[in-house]
Amino acid sequence: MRGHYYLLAVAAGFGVAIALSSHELCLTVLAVSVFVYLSYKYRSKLTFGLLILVTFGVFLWALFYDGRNETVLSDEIDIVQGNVTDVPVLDGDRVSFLLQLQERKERIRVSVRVTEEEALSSFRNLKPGSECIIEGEIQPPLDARNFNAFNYREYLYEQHVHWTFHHVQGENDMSCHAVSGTVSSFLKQWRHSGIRMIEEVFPQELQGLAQAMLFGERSNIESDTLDAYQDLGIIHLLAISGLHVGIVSGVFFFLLIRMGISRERASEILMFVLPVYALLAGAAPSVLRAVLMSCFVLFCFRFRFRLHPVDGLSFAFFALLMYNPYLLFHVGFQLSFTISTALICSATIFKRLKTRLRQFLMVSILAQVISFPLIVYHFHTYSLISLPLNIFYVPVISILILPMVWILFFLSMLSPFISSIWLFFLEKAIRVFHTFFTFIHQNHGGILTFGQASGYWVFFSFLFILLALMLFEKKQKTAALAAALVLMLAVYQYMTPYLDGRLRVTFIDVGQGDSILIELPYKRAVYLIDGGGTVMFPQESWQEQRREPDPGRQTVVPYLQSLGIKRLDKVIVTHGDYDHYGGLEVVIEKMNVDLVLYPRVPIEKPGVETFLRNVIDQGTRIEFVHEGMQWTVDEHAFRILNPEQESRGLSDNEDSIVIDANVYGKKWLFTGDLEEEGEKRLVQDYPELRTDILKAGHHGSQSSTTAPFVQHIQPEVSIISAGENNRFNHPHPDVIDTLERENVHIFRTDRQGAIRFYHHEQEWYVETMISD
Amino acid sequence: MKQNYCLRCLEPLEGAQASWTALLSCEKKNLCESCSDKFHRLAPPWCLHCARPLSCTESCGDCERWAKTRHWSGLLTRNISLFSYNDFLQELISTYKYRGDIALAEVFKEPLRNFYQQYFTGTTPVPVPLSKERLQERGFNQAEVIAEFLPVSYKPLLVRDIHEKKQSKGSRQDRLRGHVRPFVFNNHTGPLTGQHILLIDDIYTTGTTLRKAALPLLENGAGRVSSLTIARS
Repeated sequence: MRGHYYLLAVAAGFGVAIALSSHELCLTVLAVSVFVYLSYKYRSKLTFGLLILVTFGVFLWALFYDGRNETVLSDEIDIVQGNVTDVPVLDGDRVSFLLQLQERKERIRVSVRVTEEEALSSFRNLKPGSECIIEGEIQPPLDARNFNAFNYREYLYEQHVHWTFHHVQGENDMSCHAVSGTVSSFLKQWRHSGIRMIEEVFPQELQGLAQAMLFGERSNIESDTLDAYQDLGIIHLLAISGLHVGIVSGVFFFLLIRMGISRERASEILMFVLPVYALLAGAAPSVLRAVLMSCFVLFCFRFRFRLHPVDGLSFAFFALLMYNPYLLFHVGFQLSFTISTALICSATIFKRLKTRLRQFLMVSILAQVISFPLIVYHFHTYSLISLPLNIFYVPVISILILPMVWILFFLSMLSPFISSIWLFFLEKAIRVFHTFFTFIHQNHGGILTFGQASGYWVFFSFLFILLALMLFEKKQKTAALAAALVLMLAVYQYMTPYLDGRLRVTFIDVGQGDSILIELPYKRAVYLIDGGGTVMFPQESWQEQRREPDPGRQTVVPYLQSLGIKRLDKVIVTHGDYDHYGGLEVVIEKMNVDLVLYPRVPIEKPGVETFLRNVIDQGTRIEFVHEGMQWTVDEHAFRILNPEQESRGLSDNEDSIVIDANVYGKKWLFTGDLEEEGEKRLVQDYPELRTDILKAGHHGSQSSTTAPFVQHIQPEVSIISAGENNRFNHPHPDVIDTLERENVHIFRTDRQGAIRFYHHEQEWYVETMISD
Repeated sequence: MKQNYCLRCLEPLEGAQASWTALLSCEKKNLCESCSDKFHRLAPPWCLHCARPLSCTESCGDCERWAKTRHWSGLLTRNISLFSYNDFLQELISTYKYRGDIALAEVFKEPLRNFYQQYFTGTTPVPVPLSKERLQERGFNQAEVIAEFLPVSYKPLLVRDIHEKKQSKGSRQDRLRGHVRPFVFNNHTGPLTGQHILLIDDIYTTGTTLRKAALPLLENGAGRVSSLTIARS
């Protein structure tokens, strides 16, 4: 069986996937085909039977495991008692941690808003294991409100968390006291003190990096740096990966042997130390994989078993999946195992290469190639400079920075002074790197937008990549052909948006604000009307979170990227209110924008002026538009009805750009924040104006969507773009009344999340993210 | 899923080293990497007639000389060998042939089939026979065992009448001079009708044996005679 235990992993993977994913039919067919192939490969029917048996067993286990993952709490609870299970994350005036409820086998996520700066330090010292009684409000986690968006509810569900609990410091009661607990909480407390110590001793720029590298805690890294790492494809260096575990155990082993301990004893010691290290390092899937594999290798070394590397990997895969089947869907888990498999199986290829340098280059290239389908699937973008950046930065991190951070961490316990000198220089070096990364990140960074790929695409990409690798290993020229097929699949995915003949209008849920995306068929033109924007109250600096809520960054850009949109022909800023243009700053920074339309009115707000200056600095043209301008693309016509040529100096809202669009025989009216006066004028000046689909003005406020206007334009459907539970209580009941009285069908982003209309083969369809 | 071992060095096949081929391919491996690396596989450019490695594909000097002789010209259309005869292969073939490790023949199965399909589809394989005495001594005909691997079944169209002294100990001149006719056509179904015959043997040294075997076949109606051999010395 040596070298064949990967069959176990394959069966387990299929078992979990069929049990927990929503594509069970496709996966079953795939599993059976793979099993038929494998039993042919081994010329044994028994293999087929065993594979089916293991798959079915794992399938049942995953179902059972998932069935137990349910809540026993109800939404009526307003006080909870339990133990803190992780190191609380502090972010501005927010503190969050997981709480293991006593008596019930359930965890909830607690989020605290701190109102006094002095109270922060007590939260900083809140140790894992502490017992807390907290008053507050319980809520179900937020569901995804936009298409292709990150689903926070699912994310927490996979951590067995079904509720979020909100506590405002000072308003409700909360009391915590430390308790002496189990081994695991003892280790977590170590981790806690380590993380806090870095915050005290290490310079600002280094803190996040050091916490990430030593303890797998990423929350303290500056958001711009984190984005750059993510988008440029070097984020894995901030995760504790197999590389880190390898270096740490290698150095430890070496030290033990230097101390005169026999190799056998040293490997025994390491077998106990590594799991402890895994817990201290935050126990992320990549750490667990690396530690588990290392332990297998050490065990076999100690007891003189010969372990086939693929078997080691397969055991680790099987063990982790049995421990937690949800891990199969975890990006880090998938990447960690995919890349490890690729590097292990390419041993023959590496052996052929003569120099160490060539081997290292080949490792980098292979890791890029094999992770490509997964990166595109999960993140929708792929950076072309990821390869050169990795080739350069992986040695820097593993040879220079990681050992330095380790040494300085221990040194600062012994002699804070000496270590602070070194830390000073290290910080300077890191600052240079990070400035460099953010610089290339802001200047495009070779980032290609591929959009949301299908499971089929991922399957075929992997199939051809594996084929190419196998043929390359056999030195067959047909390897180039397989590689060409992989490349063609990549090109196909890149081009898919342009092959889509549907016309699509999406009302993106940006909370309180507007953001509407219009995609003409085959992306002949793509327009974005507004980009949302969260209005923030003035804050003291200690209250500021690392990442301010920004619907542009968190919602609009990810949505555009998930659609594979690379370029916007027009970005229409209806008027100078922050909830319309705020999110556009990131859109213009990250996307290729041809033209920005802004109403031709005097610009008075300094915020708007800064925004428009930034637009010009990015090299994007601005056109100041008014009534009477129009354009057509194919059969689709757009004309601007507002603002008037001569502004009457009414409010900003009344000067909103109003667009009347006629696409595939449907008339749309996008009114921005136009209010009563403007609507009155439209009725007067455009006696023939009729509309099928109306974007209700000003988020459904009472001052817009007046009865005479609605009666005049006679819409079939109206969309109200407002935030869930917004503080203006939009939409106003009167507006709803008016629309209902005129038999207008209402869609609301505050209730239905994103709303998407599309035209496909002569028919119009509408889909909402949340069905009510 | 029993453990497989290298047929030559007997090391376990799924050893310390992983590979894509082992993981994905259906191929049955029977040699380990280091043993299989020791083969010197023949491929073009080579001599059009005897597969001797050349810098460009044409006729080699030896084959030119064959063509000029009166007795031997036109007997053998083409010979192709799988491997160049090196120390490694010599040891392998002698283990197989003289020490009777018949399982080793498996090693040649894949390349033999590939070459047959690539160069000799449609031909009728005929193993070069052994004399009765030699067969008795060895217990099997090494050429027949190899011919079994081909996708079409072979025909025993020849019989070896004369028990020559062991070829592998004679010199080139000895063999070239031997104007004896050791092979006799032997077919129950009568003479051939223009078929392309493919002689199967283990080693091509000078090509004399193969040419001697081709003679009776051509005399009995074969259209052309070629040969496929394991080693080319």
